[in-house]
Amino acid sequence: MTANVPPPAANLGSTNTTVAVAFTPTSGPDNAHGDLPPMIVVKNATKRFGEKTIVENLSFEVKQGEIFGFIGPSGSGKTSTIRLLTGVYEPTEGEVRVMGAVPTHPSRRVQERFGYMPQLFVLYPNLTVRENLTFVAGLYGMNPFTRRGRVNELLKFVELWEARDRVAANVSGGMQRRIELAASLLHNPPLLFADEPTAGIDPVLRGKFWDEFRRLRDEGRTIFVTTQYVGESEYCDRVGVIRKGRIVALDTPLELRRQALGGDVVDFTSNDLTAAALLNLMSLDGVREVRPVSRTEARIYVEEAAQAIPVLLDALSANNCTVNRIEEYRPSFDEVFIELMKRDAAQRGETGEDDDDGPSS
Amino acid sequence: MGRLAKRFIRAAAFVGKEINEVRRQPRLILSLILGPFFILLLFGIGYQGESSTLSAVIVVPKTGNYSREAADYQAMVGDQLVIKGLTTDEADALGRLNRQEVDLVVIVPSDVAKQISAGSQVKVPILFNEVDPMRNNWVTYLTYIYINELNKRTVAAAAAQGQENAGDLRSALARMRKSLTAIEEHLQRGEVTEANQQVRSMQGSSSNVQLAVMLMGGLMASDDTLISPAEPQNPELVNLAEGQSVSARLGGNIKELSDELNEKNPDPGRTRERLASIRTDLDQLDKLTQQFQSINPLVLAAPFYSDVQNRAPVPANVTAFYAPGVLILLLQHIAITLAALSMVRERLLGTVELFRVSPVSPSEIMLGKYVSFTLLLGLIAAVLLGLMSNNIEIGGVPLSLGVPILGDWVPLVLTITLVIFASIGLGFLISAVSKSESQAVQLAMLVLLMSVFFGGFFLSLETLWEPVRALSFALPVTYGVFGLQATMLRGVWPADIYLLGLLGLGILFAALSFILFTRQFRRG
Repeated sequence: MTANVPPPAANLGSTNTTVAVAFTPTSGPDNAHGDLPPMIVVKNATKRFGEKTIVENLSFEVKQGEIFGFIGPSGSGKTSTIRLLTGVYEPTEGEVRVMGAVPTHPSRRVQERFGYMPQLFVLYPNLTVRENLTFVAGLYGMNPFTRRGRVNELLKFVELWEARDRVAANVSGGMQRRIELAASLLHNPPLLFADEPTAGIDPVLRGKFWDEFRRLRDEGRTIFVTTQYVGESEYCDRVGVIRKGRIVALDTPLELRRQALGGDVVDFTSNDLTAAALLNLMSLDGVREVRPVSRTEARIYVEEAAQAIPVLLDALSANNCTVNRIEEYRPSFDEVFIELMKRDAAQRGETGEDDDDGPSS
Repeated sequence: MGRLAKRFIRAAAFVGKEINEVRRQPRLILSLILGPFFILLLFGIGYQGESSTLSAVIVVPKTGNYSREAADYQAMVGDQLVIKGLTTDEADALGRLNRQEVDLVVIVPSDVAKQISAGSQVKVPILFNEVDPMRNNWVTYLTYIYINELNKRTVAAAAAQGQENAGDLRSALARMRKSLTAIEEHLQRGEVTEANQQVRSMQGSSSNVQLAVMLMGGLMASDDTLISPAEPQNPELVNLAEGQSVSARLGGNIKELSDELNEKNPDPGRTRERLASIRTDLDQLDKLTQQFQSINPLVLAAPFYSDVQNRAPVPANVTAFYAPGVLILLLQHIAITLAALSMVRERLLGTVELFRVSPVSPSEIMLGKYVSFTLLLGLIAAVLLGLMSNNIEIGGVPLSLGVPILGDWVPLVLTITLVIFASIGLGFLISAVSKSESQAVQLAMLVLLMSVFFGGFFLSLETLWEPVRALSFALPVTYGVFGLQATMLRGVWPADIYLLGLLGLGILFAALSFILFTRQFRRG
């Protein structure tokens, strides 16, 4: 029924299990197809419960074959957005389309084509790992005669084969997350919604989850993933940053960094650094800001680091400054997000300290 | 795969899941099957079905010819009343009653003979101190029985006295027969004057005999009773009313003999004829009096007794009567609790969110749960019925109730299935209005309580006010109990109203819970 895709090197499973896909595979990490219709289209979507606005005026598209990360602090509206996309919530205003369908009134055919990994373990603690997966396979109407093989494949794939006969209540939190992941992939969906899949699990397992998402992406699947771990942004192809129900930034991780810092940053040290030299740098094209860090160090904000560094070296040399070290500074995503949050708070006239939780690193 | 096949697979997923969930909880299985059975067994063994005995203190008058022995009174009242003592101190007896040391205080009236002679009934005060309405009714009924018994014994004693007095009547008749012989001898000797004197003496005795016979006849009179018997108990022996006409005729014959002898020339032929008639009358009266004396005084006091025959196919037995009701009540309760908790748990676990985004529909979820719970409860019902209806004993200890199943299996299975169907629907309805597991359990317990009071097997439905009785017919247990009793104990199909009622309730509950569940399922 499907094409088998070879497993990636960094597979969650220790075995060489392959997971079949039932849609036209695209290839490579940069396979987000602009020419294909987007998997998800959200236009000015707002969700309110009574007077309380949960998410406001969301607009974005998710392309086929990309990992779209939705990042924000706790309570910012990530899960509500996923619920809008999966049809659990109906938007109060605006429009949501998933695979061309309105998720609140989906056809069964559409529902069979996306998987959902909820934020919490929502399966049955009294059933074994295998029984839980068999039940979910039944929910998707999978053929009882062939589903056993599929369940076994996924048990191996998420490294739960040894634990298949243990009741779910007796497995670790990380294992429960893997049961959820396996359950969401049982019916081989081209679109996966994963709501904070890495929340509360150890860094090693988090790394494996992301390896797996990228592998699924490489198979051509689209993954919409929410997280509050800011560092996970760099695993995504595109990232939407949400704060208090509104998207404050949406771009590739690299572009987000630029947005946050207003461009690239170049750091340099020179024992001959003078005020005149710094003033001279300010007048150069592409230089937006010059900040002295110490008597021998300075940070320059430029439009494009690669182009700016030769120009800066020339200018400093002209001012008799011998440069000991010059390099592009890549701030952590924590700094990027703090900057984005601060900027949004400033735009809204807030202090920025009233977020429920800052994003985690 | 076809859409229909997929629908079936989705519903079947819930059947497997629910059965696995129950299977994973051995304690739950134990409590679901063995728990109800042991309740039934304990009920069968423990329920005596007999009313409790009452204790009494008898207050007897200080003076008078009354027995002072408790044993005498105990012999009179039988086993249901235990005489705790006799006293002449009424205040002391009332104190014991107030302290609930005894159930009854019976005050024996002091001037019984005087009151009866004066033509008035004698009041026997019986005091009790009871807040339990059932025991109140029991005491009232028991005292009514005792007073009836007392009255019967009094009438019997009077009849016995009458029989004793009949001995005097027979003496009078013997004297009259002696006088008759004397008259014959006087007449043979031509001593008409002496014979006439004897006749006058007989006339006086005849009046007394007529009065005595009339009294005897009064004891036997049946015209005053509520029910006239088609025929007396023993017409040969008992028809003393005939004695009244004989005694009247005797009086007439004696008068005619007297008139004949007062003639100047009495006709010897007519005189012999009269004498012969008088002898015949005396023989008849003597025979009737003898018969009257041979009658049991208790028959005179209570000539009627009932001949009750129970035409039910099985003897009335408390365990057998209540077992179908208890079984249905247990099945209803388990079905409601399982269904209510199952749906609430889905919400609390968060699986409903998973269902919403999957292709499964509310109807498939409900169908799967209906099927799984029906299978599970059907198994429980089969095990319970098997344990109830067989005579299993281990080491002399009964492990079953021996409840008969006279009817066909088809109506039995149909009734139980419909009860389960309706009860699961009610459980789903409860889950739709419950926000937590404890709330669902609370509501299930309320339904259980309602079923006990209004289900119609502990308290008869006729005892309920009609608007309240409507509540009874909103409960599956009401229809199920009557239906199962008809099948098991009478061996007949349950009346259509019970089966249709269950079906109607089941459809109603299913429709309401489906609407509510679908609304909750789709609410964004």
